Amino acid sequence: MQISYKPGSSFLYSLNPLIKGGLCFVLIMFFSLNGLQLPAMAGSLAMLLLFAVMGRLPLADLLLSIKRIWLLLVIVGLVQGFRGDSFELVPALEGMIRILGVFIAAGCYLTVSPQSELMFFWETIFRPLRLFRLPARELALVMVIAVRFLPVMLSEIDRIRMAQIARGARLGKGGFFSSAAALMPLMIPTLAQAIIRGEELAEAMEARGYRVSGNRTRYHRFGIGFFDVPAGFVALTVAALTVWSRFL
Amino acid sequence: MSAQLELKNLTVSYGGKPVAEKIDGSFGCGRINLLVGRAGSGKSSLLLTIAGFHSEFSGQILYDGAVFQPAGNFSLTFQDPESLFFNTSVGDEVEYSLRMRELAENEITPRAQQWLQRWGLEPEKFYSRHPFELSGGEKRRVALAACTVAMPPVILLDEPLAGLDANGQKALAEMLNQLAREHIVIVVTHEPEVFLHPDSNILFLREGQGSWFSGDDFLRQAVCNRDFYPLPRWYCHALAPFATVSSLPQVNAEAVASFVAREKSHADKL
Repeated sequence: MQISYKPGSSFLYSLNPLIKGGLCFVLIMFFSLNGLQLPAMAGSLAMLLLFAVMGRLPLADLLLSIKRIWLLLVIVGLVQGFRGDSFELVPALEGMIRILGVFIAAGCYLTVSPQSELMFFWETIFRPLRLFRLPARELALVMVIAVRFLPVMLSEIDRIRMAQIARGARLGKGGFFSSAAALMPLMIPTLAQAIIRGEELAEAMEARGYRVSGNRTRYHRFGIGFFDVPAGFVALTVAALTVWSRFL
Repeated sequence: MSAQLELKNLTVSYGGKPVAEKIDGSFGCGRINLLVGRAGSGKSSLLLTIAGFHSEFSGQILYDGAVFQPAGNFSLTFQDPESLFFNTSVGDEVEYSLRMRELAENEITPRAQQWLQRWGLEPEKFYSRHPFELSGGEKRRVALAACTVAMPPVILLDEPLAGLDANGQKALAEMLNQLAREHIVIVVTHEPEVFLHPDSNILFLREGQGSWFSGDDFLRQAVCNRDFYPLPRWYCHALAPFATVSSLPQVNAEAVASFVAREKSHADKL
C-alpha cells in the first residue's frame, strides 16, 4: 500500500502548510531524539495514531504500508536489542517505536499535504538561501518531486517484480538471502525507469508552461485558520517535551 | 494437450468488496478463452488472481485437478505493454523468459530471434532497439512475443489487441489462435468479435456475477439485446439475420466483414 496524498476535509487537512510541515518536523525530531521510557514512547505513538483517526486519515493504509519497512524494523530491533551483553527487549522495542513514529508522522503529513502545500512549505524553509543567490524555489521543487517520487519508485519496483514473475522469474523463493539477491536485478531497471520518468516529467512541466523564472505567481494562498493556533501550540509542546526529556 | 484451468466457487474481492462472486467453470485448450465484461467488472482482477498477483480471493483455482501454483508455469501481459518492459533492448526482453527457464545459452538468442520474427518484427531491425522507442503496435507485439516465447501452459493476456489497427489485430489474433491449440490462452477483451468463434468459451462478468457462454449463445444474446453487451453496430446488423438460425456461420469480425463484402459485391453485380 502506498503512502500518498488522499483528498479529505478534516482539521488536519485544513492546517496551514507551514504549521503542518512544522508539526511533522517536530514529531519526527520527537520520535528520533526523545529520552522517554518505553511506556511513554508507546503512549506517544498511540496518541499519534489517535490523532490520525480523529483526522479521518486512512489508518488501514498507513498501517499496511508498515509492511514495506519490516526489514528495517527488524534490523533496528536487533541492533538496539544487542547493545549489551545479551538481547534486551526494551531497547529493541524502543528503537522500533522510534522508527514507527517517524514513519507514521511522515506518512500522515504526506497523506494530508497536496503538492502545492509541500512546495509552499519547502520554499518557505529555503527562502533564506536567496540571500546567497541560491535558487530556493527550484530547490524546493526538487525536494517535493523527490518526496512525491518515492511511492512512484516503490510502485515501479512492484511493477518490475510483477513483470519478471509474469515471465517465469521465481523471485522471493528460497529464503532471506535468495530474496535479497533477487532484488539486485531490480535496481538497474528501476534506476533507468526513474531517469525516463524524470525526463517525461520535465517535458510535461514544460508543456504546461513551467519556466525557470523569478516572477512567479501563486495559485493557492494559504492563511491562518481556526485549527492552526492549537496545532502550533501542540508543536511547541512536543518540541519542549523533546528538549526536556533528552537534555534536561 | 487437454489440460484445464478450473475455477471452483471463486470470489475475488478488493478491500473486502467482492468484484466477481462464486465463479464456477473452466478454461481449456483448443480455442482462445474470452473474459468479457464492461469496464470495472473485475476481468483484470480475475486475471491477476489466476496469476497470483492478487491474493484477496476465496475458492480454488485448479490446474489438471491440482491447486494451480503460479510459478514459472504461466505468463501474463498487462493492459499497458510498457508495464512489462524492464530491459534495455527488445532482444533482452524476449530472451528473459528463456533465461529464467534456464535454456542452454547457445539456444536462447536464435530462438528469441525466430520467435520475434513470427510476431512480425524483423530481428535485424528491432533486436537491439530500446522497447520504449517502438510504436504502440510494435510494443504490443514485443510484449506478446516476450510473454509467449517460453510457451508456458497458461497464457493470460489483458486486452492484447487494444490500440492496434484492423490488420494488426487480425495478424495477432491468428497467432493467438495458433497458441491456443496447445495452451490455455485466456484473453481479457473489449472486442470479443475479433476472436469469436461459434464454439468459443466465454466467461462474461456482469454486476459481480460470472456466466459462461459459447460463442454462439453469447452472440445471439448480444445481437438481440444491445444492453447485454455492446458489440459494434455494423457487426450486429450483419449477423442479425442469422441470430435465429440454429447454427451461426463463422462469426469473428474478419469472417463477417469478408462475408458482407462478398455479398455486397454479389448484389452489385446482380
